[in-house]
Amino acid sequence: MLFNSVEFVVFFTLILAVVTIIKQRNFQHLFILFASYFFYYFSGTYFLSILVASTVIDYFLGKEIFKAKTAQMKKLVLAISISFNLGLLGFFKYTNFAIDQFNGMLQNLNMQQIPMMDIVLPVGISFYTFHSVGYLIDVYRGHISPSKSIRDYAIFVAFFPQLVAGPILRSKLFLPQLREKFESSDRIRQIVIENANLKLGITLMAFGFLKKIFFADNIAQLPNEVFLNPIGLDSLTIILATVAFGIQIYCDFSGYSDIAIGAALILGFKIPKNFNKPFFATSPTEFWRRWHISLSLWVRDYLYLPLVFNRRKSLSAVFLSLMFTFFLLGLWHGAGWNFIIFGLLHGIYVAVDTMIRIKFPSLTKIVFFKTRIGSIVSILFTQYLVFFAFIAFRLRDLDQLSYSMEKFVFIDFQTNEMVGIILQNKISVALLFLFIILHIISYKKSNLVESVSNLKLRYWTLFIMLVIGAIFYLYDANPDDFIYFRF
Amino acid sequence: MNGKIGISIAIAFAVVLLSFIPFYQAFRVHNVWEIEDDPFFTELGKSTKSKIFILGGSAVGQINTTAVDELVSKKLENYEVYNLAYNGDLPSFRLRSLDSTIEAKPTTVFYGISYWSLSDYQDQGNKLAFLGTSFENLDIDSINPKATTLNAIRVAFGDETGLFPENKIKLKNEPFFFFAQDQMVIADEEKLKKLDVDRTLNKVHQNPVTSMQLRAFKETIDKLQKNDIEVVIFTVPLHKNYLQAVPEDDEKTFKATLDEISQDYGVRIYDFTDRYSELDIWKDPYHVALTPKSNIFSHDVAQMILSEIES
Repeated sequence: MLFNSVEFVVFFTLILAVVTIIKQRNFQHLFILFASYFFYYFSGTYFLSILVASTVIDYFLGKEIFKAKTAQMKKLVLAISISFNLGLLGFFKYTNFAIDQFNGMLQNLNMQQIPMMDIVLPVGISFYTFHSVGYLIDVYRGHISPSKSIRDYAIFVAFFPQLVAGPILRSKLFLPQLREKFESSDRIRQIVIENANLKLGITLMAFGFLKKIFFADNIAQLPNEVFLNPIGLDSLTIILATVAFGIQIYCDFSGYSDIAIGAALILGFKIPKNFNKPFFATSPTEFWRRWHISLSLWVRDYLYLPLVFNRRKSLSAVFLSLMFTFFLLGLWHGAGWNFIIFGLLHGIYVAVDTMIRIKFPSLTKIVFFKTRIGSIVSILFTQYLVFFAFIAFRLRDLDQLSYSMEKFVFIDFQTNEMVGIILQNKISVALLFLFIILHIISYKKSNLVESVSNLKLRYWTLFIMLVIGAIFYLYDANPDDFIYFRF
Repeated sequence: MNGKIGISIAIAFAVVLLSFIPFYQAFRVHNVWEIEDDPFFTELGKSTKSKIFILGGSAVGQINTTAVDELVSKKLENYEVYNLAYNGDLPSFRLRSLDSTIEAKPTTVFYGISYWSLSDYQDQGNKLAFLGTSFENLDIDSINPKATTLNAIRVAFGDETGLFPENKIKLKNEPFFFFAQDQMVIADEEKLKKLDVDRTLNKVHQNPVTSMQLRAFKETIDKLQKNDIEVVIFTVPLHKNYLQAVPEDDEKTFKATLDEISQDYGVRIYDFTDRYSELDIWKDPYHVALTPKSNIFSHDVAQMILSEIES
């Protein structure tokens, strides 16, 4: 079920109605669980059984980790549980990629190739696997007690707003919300749709829909046309399409996150924000503190820090750990060499940035970088690197990828094709500029969503009307999937 | 307060949707099959030459009509050939413009069809019919707000905005079909392998008992014949990859249906289905490309027309 579909609007309205009618907390939670499973089933997948089975297994493995009496035993159960989860993810996501690589080698040796397997990637598996693995590690580390109720744990894994494309939930932030108590008594709170949450949630969802349907879907036309086959195109065309793609994917994914966070908030659940104006990052490290925050924090806490633990003073250990972390981060996005290149490029950026900060701490104190112009230069340089890496995210074909990257770096200053592309995609280009202007305004006014949400009801209604109008009047009858659904 | 927020949202939706109704009525983009009022028909009525029409969908649209017309009029000077194909033609759509077609007085109509023409894959009924008779003719799937808005800009400012570049090529004597660049390129083997099998199975499934398209097709033939217009049917060519995906049962049913039509209505049927299935002339598995190399199809169509007219 796509968020940008009539089905979702009906589904979510029904959820709110039923949750309001059911006053009993247990039934509310049970209803949300079944609604989440229905949402998953409706998302065009018959892999609900895998989700349910892995939920049950992980729930009991979490208990076993907690109950294990020795550290070795805990470690063993953790290893089993992580192997199970990553094995499942690996099988569905990477088997055919591995066979393809292996066949490449066999072909060189003139040997018979292995047939590809008929595997379909279950929607959202990359996200719910990370939920589960994070939970199991938290239990192992003693950061949380295992969930007492399988129902609570199942909601944590399958909560519909974030089930198929994140943000990646952290158990220690989410599970306690299911057992939140009334301030005045020891009774556990039921789900109450509060006015402030409802208004803020709807405002967030409106921004999300605006980003996805108004901007992402309409801008997409330009990069789709250019990247269909970029070979032979000039540098400026490639750069324009890359910028358009970067903004498209930001609007697509952060739009999804906004809708998910808004929907959860209406139901009374707080999910931390997943994007924080990444195009204003002044360094690659800062970029990852602003882009897909839930993933970068997950990777930092469960992968990078354990890797570098006790070896923080070794520059080579830090460098290699960062490279390995970003290699896996790239691979998480998809089974393809382009995603590995995407990850490695960011690995190089962040590793070099970290090395410079460690080796030359005085550089960070240079006054120029604290000035307005210095900040602009830092932002532009960072974004040049970030957008360069987006080419790898977009192009799977390695010939097209290398050509486009070369053109992005060695600019030929030809304008023939670019003029044609702009003329054919005026709407996309106009929206690109509109987005940049609005993005700068929203950067300067940091709490834009809250400000809109706090408007008087009649002005707020007018705002919502304008957003719905903008979305509806530029709504293409054939909605696109969210890009991160593929992961 | 919850109620007030809910009402606010409802009002916002209502205002936007209600404002869209007159906007849509004023600026809607017509469907490709809504050709019945096209000036082409009235213009053609003035011509004194005998007219031959080719009807069908995109597979028929890919015929090089200019070449066909030249080949036919070289031998039969008083004849001219028009290809009235448009994308996504189905007999039920074609019925809507049949009166205009008849008024243009063609002597012969060649109707190109394939499995999907008689399949009911698109007949899912009108989703809004339950709202009453006023909604019966409203095809909700064809409503595209973005296309309507862009059309409104076009109408308001004219094409001088440059927002609507015309990159498509139109052939003489083919008024309702346009060629984009990719329709004039022969695809490689890899591209021809890309076939959505589930969709294909759905599209080619034959059920002559319930088929609304078959009824519409028979009605079309009947109406043309009653107006003294000769009808000839031909099946459009398909690539081997497509043919491999067609289940044997559907293939047999389709052939049996055509045989029955041929007997019942006395129409001749030309079968191009697998004639070029192995050749390197394809834009995709169900469209011959419009290239000089692919002209074999157009030449054979011209030959079919000549043999029918001369017989």
